[in-house]
Amino acid sequence: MPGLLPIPTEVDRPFWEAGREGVLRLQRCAPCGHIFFPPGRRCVACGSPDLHWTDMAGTGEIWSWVVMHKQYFADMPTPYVVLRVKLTEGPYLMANLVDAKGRAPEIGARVRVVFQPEGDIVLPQFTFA
Amino acid sequence: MPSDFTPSKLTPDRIPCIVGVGTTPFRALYRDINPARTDYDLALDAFYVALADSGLEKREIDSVIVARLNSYLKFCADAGLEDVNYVNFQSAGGSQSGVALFQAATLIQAGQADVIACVYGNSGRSSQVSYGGGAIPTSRYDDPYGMTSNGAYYGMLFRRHQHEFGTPIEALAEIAISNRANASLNPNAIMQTPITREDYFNAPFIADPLRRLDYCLVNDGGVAYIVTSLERARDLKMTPVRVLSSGVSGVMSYYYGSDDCWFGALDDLRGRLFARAGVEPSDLDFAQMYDNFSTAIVFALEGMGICQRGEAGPWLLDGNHKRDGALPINTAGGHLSESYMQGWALTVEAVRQLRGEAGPRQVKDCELALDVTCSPICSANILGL
Ligand SMILES: [Zn+2]
Repeated sequence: MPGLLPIPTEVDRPFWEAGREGVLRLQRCAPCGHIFFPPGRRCVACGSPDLHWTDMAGTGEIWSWVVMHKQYFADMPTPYVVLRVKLTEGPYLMANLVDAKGRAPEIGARVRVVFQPEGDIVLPQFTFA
Repeated sequence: MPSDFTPSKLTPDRIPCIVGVGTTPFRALYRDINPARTDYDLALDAFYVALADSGLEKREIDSVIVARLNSYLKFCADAGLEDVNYVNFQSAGGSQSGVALFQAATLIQAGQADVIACVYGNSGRSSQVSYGGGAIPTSRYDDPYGMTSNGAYYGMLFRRHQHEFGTPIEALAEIAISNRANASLNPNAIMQTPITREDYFNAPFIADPLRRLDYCLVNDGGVAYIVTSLERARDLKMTPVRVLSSGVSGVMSYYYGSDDCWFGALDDLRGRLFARAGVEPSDLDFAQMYDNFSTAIVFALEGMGICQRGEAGPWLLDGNHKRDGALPINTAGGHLSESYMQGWALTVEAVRQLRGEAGPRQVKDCELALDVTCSPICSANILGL
């Protein structure tokens, strides 16, 4: 049930490739240690281009969420839940809530990443931890 | 902070004043979709209304700020403003209206311009423009999840606000109801039929927690106003509305929003803004608050110190924002009921109220107004007689 899928670029291809391995991988700045998302060419904190793709724990908590009722994509029937997840390492990711087994989302709930193939890419999604 | 000015430090002659305002017929335009209509047509219509309102000669305009019009050349040429000094363009963002006035006021204060036309045109309804989607840096990472609308980002922020402060959803209903009540007294408003809480809760969810009546009304329209110095304004026919204080405070984030619902940015702005105008929030007679979504008013109330942080919910449930309340808000109906003009019409309504021209919706004996935008660029202007 994807919305609009991205075509990986030179900058973010390692993020999408990591999904194929079942790993959530973000850039970590070598000089200052800052971890950030979305991917870029320089550290947003110190400006260094010395960045290393680093495995994340794949855990976090729900920072907030909405239920989309207006249909924006033909392949994506409503309603669906969108989470803003705060990763254990700090950055935020958007995702859908999957395999909720009837449990409603709540702010602060612990979640973990799962990966779903969609078209040519593998999307990180989140489920309750 | 360098981004503010204070009229009290100026020679009184250089105090910036709004001396002419113009709007197009929003209600009629809403009912007359015309794909041939352009942003420029609408901006030009509003410009000539504002110019006539000011009583100035067109040749006296020495500077122009256009918003949403990609070609400032075309607008100025269409308007016969070939011989101007300062010209600038603002993008089609709703964060920009208060910044336009900030920019104009700063130029007047600095003596870099004498008469500035600020002009906005938007044919969004006829051209079926879509807001959001691709507009923010994380779009390509949010779109796969069907997270593409600005309203959904505001919905996330409001749910967070509810979590932290217990803000009731009924507070949003009270904003929509009050905006509509004000619009019912405004013959130029798109939606004039009063609504109830039942109507609010019966309207469908768009992005839960937000419902349809939390959303602005995308429309066609133009808005313009003329800014000059008090020295020049003294000779004009209309009562000048002074820009007593003006400020801007940005929150540049990858996501559309701010983790603290812009409280930090607005609070910083509030301190500078009110100190430099020499007034307190409690001195205000009414306020115009940017409401692309109802939730923005909740955030602006707290950030501007009109109520304590986390207290906007109870403040609204008490009806303080209504026409007969402590601080009437969006007296012409705002973006939810008058027309979504990305903040520009809110500024013009403030001027009309201060000049006592608001007819049945006139706020009695008003002298001091706040015009505030809570968005990635927070901006605020205090206007007074
Ligand atoms: Zn760094």
